[in-house]
Amino acid sequence: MSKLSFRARALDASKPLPVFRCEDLPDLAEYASINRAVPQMPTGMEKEEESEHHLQRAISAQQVYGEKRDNMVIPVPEAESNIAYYESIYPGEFKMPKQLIHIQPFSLDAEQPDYDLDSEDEIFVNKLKKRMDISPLQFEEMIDRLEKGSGQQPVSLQEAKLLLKEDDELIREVYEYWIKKRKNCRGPSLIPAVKQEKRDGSSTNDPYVAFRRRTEKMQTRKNRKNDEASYEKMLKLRRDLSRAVTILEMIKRREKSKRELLHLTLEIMEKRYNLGDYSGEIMSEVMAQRQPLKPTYAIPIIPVTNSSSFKHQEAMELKEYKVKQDKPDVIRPKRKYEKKPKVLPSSAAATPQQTSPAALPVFNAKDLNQYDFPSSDDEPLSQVLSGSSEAEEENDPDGPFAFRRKAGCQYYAPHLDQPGSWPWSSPKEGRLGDVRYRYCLTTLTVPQRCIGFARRRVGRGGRVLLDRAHSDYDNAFHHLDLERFSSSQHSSISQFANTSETNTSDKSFSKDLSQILVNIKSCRWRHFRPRTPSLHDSDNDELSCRKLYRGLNRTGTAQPGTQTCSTSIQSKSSSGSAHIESATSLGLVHEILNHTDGSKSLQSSEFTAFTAEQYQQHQQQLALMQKQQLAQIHQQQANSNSSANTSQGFVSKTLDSVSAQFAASALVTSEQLMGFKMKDDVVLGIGVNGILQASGVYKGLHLSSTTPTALVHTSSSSAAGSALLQPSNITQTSSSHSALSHQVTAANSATTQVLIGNNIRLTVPSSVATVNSITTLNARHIPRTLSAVPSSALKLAAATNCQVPKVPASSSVDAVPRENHETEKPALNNIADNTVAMEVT
Amino acid sequence: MAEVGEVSEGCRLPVLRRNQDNEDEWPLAEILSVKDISGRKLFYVHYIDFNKRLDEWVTHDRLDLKRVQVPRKEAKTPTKNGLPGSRPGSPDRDPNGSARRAVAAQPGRKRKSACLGTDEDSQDSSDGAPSAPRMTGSLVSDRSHDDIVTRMKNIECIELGRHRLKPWYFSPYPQELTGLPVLYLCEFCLKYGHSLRCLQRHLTKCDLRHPPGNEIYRKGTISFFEIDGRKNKSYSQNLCLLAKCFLDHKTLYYDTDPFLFYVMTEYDCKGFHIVGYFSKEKESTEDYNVACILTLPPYQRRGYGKLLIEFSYELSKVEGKTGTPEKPLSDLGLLSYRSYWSQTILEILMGLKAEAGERPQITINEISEITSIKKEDVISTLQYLNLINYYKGQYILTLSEDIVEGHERAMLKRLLRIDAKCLHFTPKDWSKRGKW
Repeated sequence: MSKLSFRARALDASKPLPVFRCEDLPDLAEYASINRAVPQMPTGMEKEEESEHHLQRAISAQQVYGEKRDNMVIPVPEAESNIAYYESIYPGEFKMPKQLIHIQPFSLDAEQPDYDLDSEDEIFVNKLKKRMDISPLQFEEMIDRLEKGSGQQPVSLQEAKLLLKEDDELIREVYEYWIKKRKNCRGPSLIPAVKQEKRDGSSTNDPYVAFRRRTEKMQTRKNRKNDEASYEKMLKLRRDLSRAVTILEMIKRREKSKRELLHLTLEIMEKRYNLGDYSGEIMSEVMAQRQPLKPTYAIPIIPVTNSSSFKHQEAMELKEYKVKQDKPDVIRPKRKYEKKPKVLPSSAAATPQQTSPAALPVFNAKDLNQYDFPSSDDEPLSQVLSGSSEAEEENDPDGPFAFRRKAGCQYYAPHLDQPGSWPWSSPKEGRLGDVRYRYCLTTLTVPQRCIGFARRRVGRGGRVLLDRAHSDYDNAFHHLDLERFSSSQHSSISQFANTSETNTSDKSFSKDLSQILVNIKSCRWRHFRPRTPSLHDSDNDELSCRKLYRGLNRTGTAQPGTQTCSTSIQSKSSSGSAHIESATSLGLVHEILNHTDGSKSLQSSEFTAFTAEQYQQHQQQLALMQKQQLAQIHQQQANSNSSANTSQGFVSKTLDSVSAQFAASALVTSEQLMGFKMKDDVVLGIGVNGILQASGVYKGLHLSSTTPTALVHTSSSSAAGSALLQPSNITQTSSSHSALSHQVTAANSATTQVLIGNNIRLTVPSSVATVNSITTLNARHIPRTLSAVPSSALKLAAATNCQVPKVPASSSVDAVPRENHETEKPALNNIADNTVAMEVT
Repeated sequence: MAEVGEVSEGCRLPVLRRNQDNEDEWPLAEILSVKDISGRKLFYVHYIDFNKRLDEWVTHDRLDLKRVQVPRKEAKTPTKNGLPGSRPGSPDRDPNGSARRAVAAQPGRKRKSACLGTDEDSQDSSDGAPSAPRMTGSLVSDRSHDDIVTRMKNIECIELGRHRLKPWYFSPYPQELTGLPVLYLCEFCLKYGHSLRCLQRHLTKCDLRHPPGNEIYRKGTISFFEIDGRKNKSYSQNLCLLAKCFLDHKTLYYDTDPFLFYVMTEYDCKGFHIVGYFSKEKESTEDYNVACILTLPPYQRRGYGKLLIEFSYELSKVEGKTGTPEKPLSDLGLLSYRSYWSQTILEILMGLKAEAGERPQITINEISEITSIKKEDVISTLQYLNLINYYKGQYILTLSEDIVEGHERAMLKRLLRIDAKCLHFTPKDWSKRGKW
């Protein structure tokens, strides 16, 4: 038929197909052949199996009969369905719940042993039962543990005893049985389990290995950007979590330390009670014995003198100066060790003797930093200078008390061979050789005569001892005109200051008596005249005396400070004199400022000692004073205009004469301040400084709140922060106590005034001011309570970033000790450090 | 006539077998293995053109030793073939014994793999080099991993509840349990033990009375439980091991994580007894709505299989998808599915009412949407039932009297049906939960 060549259209699944009954289409058969045009669909079976006899038979039977015949079905192996004992082994009835069954997650993990006891075991257990107490379930549990504790090799009896909680005898019995049974076992374990794949991939074709892990990686999203973002999020999450872990770890350590302390205290108390040490005598005796064990950290208040080793030749201060200038490196480590622990325990090392719980800085800022805060402060240079101490942090037996290096600091090796750290120790030994304790010309008051070279020491009970030294000029000294000298001493301080810059360059010792006198007059040689304090003028005299020393002190110790400030540049002694000059000039500036601005004498109390740390402080104070002055000028424009202007002029002049190396920073600051005065504008560089100082404030206060020992000093030295830094000047400060406190309070009030005038948030400065003023009264408690406040002040200062808050910030610095390298860090990081610290503690 | 001792692996010979009508037959069989038990030789025989499930151990007296075909050793060197009775290299590569098979099978496999996915082609071509099978799906059609071990049943008998089952195929139960006359399974958790005493002990500890999943369907005594292959590994693996005994193409190569298992149970006073199950990939790239499907032998030929299939399509309806079972189908699978598809489609076609004097009509897509049966399966069923005819320039569907009567008769016998109202099922979007 021609119809056969007719090609049908493809079957369209979306085209409607009319449904007919065959009887309605009598002519359908004529068209039937065309059906073949529709392609045959595959059955979905394997071709090989499709041809199987029984299937084909079944299919054809179905097509023939429309249904399967019983004898045409595909035969399968028979199943048996009448297990007689079924009823007996499957326990009782199970009522169908009304509700659909919902399985609770993890409810399936019943703590049942996977091992099932067999008849062989049953015999053994029954036998064992006669001697020991064992149930089948207990036996199963034991076998289960033994099996799960074993790998390829069965566990040993010793291990089995650890695994099992039963009696040793029972364990041995079961163990021996188990070992024997396991040896005869065909499989790898008495608990039959499906074979696991081997890691080396050798089991790829083992037909008994099943349920292999799918090693294919989970498909990630195609959007790469998205992937990266989520990856970063995961990293961040991980970092945050590890931070949390660190913090918790620290807390744990802290609490442990607390507990330990408590236990120790208890123990001590018990021991004391047993000994009957009710008055604390034995205790103090023991403590006294213990004291020398930790000399490096000891605060040198205890007047144990070892200065007798001084030789006569070395008594000459001028020579000592030289020695000292030549060996600045020797001096510095001592300073570090003496001060660091007290100044900055929160960031560096905590001293072991600060055992009060409140004083325990239980974390290290670095620990917290290691995960985050990509610190902008980590300048490459500073990292080179001070190797990161992260490696040391691991496995340190000292725990939180371990010394940790701070990035950006230079550390020198300690001089362990040198004893003592007293202020009167010789600079040759690497000690401070504090001017006040050096041999100098001394004149007694009561038998009024010059006794030649002598030096003072603090003896028992605070008595001042004078050590005398022989010199060739003793005779000459005895004939010195004391009245003339004393009058010259009373001459203007500014005169002294003006001439002081030349004193160190005078190296040759004049043999002429008149020359000596001239030298004394011009303050090239120091001269000490103790006075019997009179009720009326003692303050003034002491003060002036102090000032004298102070000035000399400054010249003597300025160099280390200078060097510290120019962190990376280790200037050698060749430029030493220049440094001294600059330092002196700076001091001069201060003096002048003090005198021109009558209402303020705060600065005079600041410079009792010069140290590396204080150099920065010094500089900031300079800037601060100027700022304060400027602010005041701002306030009382008309009134103090002329005087302020003159002082400003003087400042700039003086600074011009300063040597270039030192002046860089100071000069810049003053110039900026000048600029500020004119434009009333924000200067960014100072802004950063201001914030830095603020962070310094925080640290200082934080410290004082946690170190009672330091607080004692704060109170005794009446909030003159420098005194805190150098407790060795205790006699001096105590003697001049009233005067100083007076000055400080005055200064504080002045500062507060400025602050209020400048419309700054009152909380910050006022709190600082309170700290300052109250410390004079009760320094022990207040700083602790206020320690939290400055941190918020920090944040404020950082957030506002304007010129105004810097004034209060830096003013508050005056009252508290601070570390110079810390201030060199960018502000934000400091704040970050501190805020983290706050969270932890 | 060959001696019994000369009959070795690879030999072909007629073997006595009793058929369903209890008549003796002598179909050609291949010796797959020989074993010696206390001096008595046993031969594992595969009847050519019969399904593997009928393979069995026979004694020598059932062998027709007169008509032994000894395998030639090498296909490439047929003239210099080995001595009769010598052991061939590898039984399943025997070129002589399964020459017809090999020729018939190879192209078939190729074609199938081509339609199943491209990755299988490479596996076929790299035949011999062991490579891991594809990671989706639950069935293998590629037999390159087959060896003599997997071609032979390894479990004699399984006791499950009140039933004893004769496994049809190899299953990777722990090897130490394979030689046992009976393997004892807990009928609720499907845990295996080597002795009745073990089972008894286990039953004192096992408090399961139903599959450890959520019941998502219950009507009368029939319930369906959903089990997550990732969350309930132990049960899923035990179920797979049991199922493998009856599913030739099932693979247990990989873990059960990407599958859900729907276990059909029948309740009686002892609990919910497993009748059958089907597994389903959580996410299928090939529209599979069933991976493996099995009615346990004691429940076969009673409509449970169709019930399982019906249930799988009900799930697809809830999901709003069409689906198809994973290939390859077994012989029983093909029959069951064809039967289900036929009945379902005929039900629809016969239910169509003429509208306004016009002929009732329907598209294939509409059938597919209503039933959730994939379009290709609809077409193949229509073809199989010979309903598609080309008449006067268009395709029409014709219902013959035989078909209608046959269908009506079958539907009368089909009493077990799924009631969609009893289904409490919310499909999960597995793609959003992370894979598997």
